[in-house]
Amino acid sequence: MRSNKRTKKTIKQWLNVSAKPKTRDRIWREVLFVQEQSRKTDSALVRPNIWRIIMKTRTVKFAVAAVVALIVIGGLTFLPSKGTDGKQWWLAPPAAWSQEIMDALDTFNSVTCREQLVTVMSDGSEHTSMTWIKFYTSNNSYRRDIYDGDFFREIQWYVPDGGNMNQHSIRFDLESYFIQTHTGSYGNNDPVDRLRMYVGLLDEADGQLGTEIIDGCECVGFEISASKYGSNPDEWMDRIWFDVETKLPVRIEKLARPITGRADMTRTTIQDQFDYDPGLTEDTFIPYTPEGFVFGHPDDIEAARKASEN
Amino acid sequence: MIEDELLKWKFKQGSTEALSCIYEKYLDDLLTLAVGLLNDSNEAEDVVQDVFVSFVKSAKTFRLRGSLKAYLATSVINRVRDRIRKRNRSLDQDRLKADKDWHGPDQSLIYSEQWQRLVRMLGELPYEQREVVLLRLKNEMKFREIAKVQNVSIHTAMARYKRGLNRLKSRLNGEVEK
Repeated sequence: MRSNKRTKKTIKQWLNVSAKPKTRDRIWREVLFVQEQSRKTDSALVRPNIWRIIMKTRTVKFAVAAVVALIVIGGLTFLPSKGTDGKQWWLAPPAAWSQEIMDALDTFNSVTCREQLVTVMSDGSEHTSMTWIKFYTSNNSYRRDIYDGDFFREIQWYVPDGGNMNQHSIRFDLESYFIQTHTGSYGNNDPVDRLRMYVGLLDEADGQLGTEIIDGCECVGFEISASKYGSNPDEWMDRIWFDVETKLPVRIEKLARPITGRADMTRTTIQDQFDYDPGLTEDTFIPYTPEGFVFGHPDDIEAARKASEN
Repeated sequence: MIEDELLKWKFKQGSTEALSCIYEKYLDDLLTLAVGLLNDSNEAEDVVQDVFVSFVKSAKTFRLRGSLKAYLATSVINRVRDRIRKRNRSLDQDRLKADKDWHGPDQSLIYSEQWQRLVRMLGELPYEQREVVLLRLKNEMKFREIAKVQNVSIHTAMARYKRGLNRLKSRLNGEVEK
């Protein structure tokens, strides 16, 4: 019979797994790469920690606490009233409550959200793209952070310049940057403008989708034909979902758009994970180029790399 | 422990050398824990990689007063639980996997000679007991820390450990008698 002590000793001896050198190197390279990427983004975003400076003195600390309390108490009154009083506010005509949402959207200084594409294949299966985008919008400033899965690939800033929009992009995978000017504004690509547009069209909504749980919140959805805002076919439908409690939009979907050259497939664009007033600093919208990055269009740089590899 | 404190501090300052030391020091222990709980080397590698990647990403905001070893082991536990939830695998299916699907050593990890026997025995334990036994015996975590990870009292964590150990002991004795 084994004693407890011997059992523990035996188990400890047997409990041994170690990574082979190849595995060890592979994981390490990934970890190192992430550290390097973090450094690149951090170095460009270095700024004095104002919060720490403020919190050094007791008087200022109390003053800040009082101001924060006022903002919180005051800020809450700007938000739309809650819908947990048992009344299903969305059953009332949209004119009765959509302006409230519109007003709330106007109070936010900045908003972030995620965008993903879902492709519906010919067999009905759905494929969510590895590439996803995090949008940052603030009055007239825009930024898009583009990820391939967990890999932070690219940042694009859109800075207004008169009636045009300057785009400054950096690619971490290519260690390159590029600047170009677009005519016109950011327009319909701005998620907050899209939210406003849908809210303004609620009176003409083609259907109400009832309630569903999205990201753990009870939400109510509306369906609006894309023909209502552009010269699009009637059957192109969009959806907008609102949090039942806060009335704020939580998700918008451009449903089942055809893909050129692939009649058997469709694509849905989803914008979700809206974060209202996430406390972004102005730096978020100021373009920068990490040291050592070369200028060039990403396509040209990729082509040059391929050519040098061959 | 003092060494870990120094590593934590240097890591927070952005030292790759400190990160490398932490990686080398804990990689195998974390892999053992993940494979022991998941019975799947590929998933275990993913979990451990995720843990280190998140650890690196958190460098700037990283504040840890407790043990680094326990912190990393807890991160593995949380991710393993997520994976198990995603798999939607019941305890019985899990046990079945330990009994039938374990194909032994693969190309990416090196196992102790008796690993296969042990993982089969561990697979027969309820998940919570397996977690306590691995955290206690492999990661040398205190019962106070394990109780926190499992969100139970110290007495419950100790009881789970005792029951798990007794079952393993009887299985080991049974194998000897055969």
